[in-house]
Amino acid sequence: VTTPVEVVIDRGMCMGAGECVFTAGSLFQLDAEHKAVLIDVEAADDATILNAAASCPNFAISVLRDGRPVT
Amino acid sequence: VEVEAELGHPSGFHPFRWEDSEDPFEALHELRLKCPISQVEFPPLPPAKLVTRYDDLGTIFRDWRTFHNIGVSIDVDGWKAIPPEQHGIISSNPPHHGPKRRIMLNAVAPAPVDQAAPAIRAFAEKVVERFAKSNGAEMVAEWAKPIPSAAIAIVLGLPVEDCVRHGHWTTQIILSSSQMSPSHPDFGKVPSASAYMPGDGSSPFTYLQEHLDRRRDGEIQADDGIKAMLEARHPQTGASYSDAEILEAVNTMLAAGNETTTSLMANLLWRLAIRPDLYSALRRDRSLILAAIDESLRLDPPQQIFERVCIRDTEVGGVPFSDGEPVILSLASGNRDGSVYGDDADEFRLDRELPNPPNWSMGGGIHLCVGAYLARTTAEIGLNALLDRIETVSLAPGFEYRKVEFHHFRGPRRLDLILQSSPK
Repeated sequence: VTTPVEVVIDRGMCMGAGECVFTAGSLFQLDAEHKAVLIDVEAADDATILNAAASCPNFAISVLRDGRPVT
Repeated sequence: VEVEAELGHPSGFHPFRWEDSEDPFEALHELRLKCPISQVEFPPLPPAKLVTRYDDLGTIFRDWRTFHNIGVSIDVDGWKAIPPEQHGIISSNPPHHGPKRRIMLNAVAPAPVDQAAPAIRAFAEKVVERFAKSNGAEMVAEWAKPIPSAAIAIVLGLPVEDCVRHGHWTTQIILSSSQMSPSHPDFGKVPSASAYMPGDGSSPFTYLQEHLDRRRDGEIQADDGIKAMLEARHPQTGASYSDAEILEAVNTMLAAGNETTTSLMANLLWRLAIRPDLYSALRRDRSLILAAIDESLRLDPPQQIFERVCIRDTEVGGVPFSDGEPVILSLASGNRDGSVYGDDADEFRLDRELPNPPNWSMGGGIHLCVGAYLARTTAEIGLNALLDRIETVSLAPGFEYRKVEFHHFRGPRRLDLILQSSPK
């Protein structure tokens, strides 16, 4: 059994492009400062989480499992 | 049909061949099942790998270090001949890609698009009003072209009355890009600079430079995308963006945003014209609009393929890829992958279970369409304006869907509809 993934958003790196929201709107939203925030990590499957993280043009989103990056 | 690994589809299917691009779905379906990554040939183009499964597309989209974006051709030598810093946003990689993207986001990130939405809505309502009282219209020219064109002008802050001119430039660029297919009578001829100019000889760069100069002279004062671009700071150097960088960003938006969004809207409306029950469902429940847009994007991607070049030996889905090999990504195929979307993947449905895995029509990875939010918002506004005024839509007698000529694109050349308006 694999442990669930953890999604980490680097607020300083986020530029509000909204690509993660576009790719996985059930997972991410832009807050009042136009920074990406995580709503519900369980709202998507692992592939969608990875695709959403990989769509960040500024590499602000990391996906970790047991503390190690998942690609 | 037997499909041999490596050799691709027995018909010799190639996405760059115009005849094949007309209705590629059956061939793509067979390839997905029997030879999901195949070698395709259409001389004198170089041999290329054609990728058709949803998951393999994702693997390649995510790995920008191995698979570089080369724009809309598979001319690897041509791509290599341009120094990395001189590539436009589409074919550039980090560290050059981020700053090019950031300048464009001043106009097309969710925040500036939401700010422009009321003006886009007002324009869309005017457009619909023009044909609302007639009982039929050619909806590409009357609806699907003018609204995206105006939306781009509005988020940037360019005069909406210049949209016809912007549209000419887009058309010219697309016509010259269609020469990348050996099916084109002028294949192999390098498009001249004049190919980008409409009859009146004005080039987009001269036009845009004049506009920037008028901004600097204080002649135009508005809170819009171009103002934000002029005030933006380069994330790496802290300096202002040069005029050349701003012009490139604006020109890219005009070139990449017009035809694509027009095809999205026209494809969506065509789907609804053949399914009057779904048009009625949308009139009753507007919360279904985003699902309808996503479903149209999934089934009929305005851009059917993207290209990459592999820059080191690797393996995807058990198939070896070698350094320098061109790769054709079939979004049209991955979006209909039954292992992801189910046995009814070819069907247009508004009630697919959510969250649906995102389709690949806007691309993926760091090159995901920078204007995706604007495109979707534009289609949403355009469709809402139509649903408000038009009670039913149906195809004009004898209408047949004929897609635009360019092999990359899927959108109807015309969309002749019978309309029945509702009381205002």
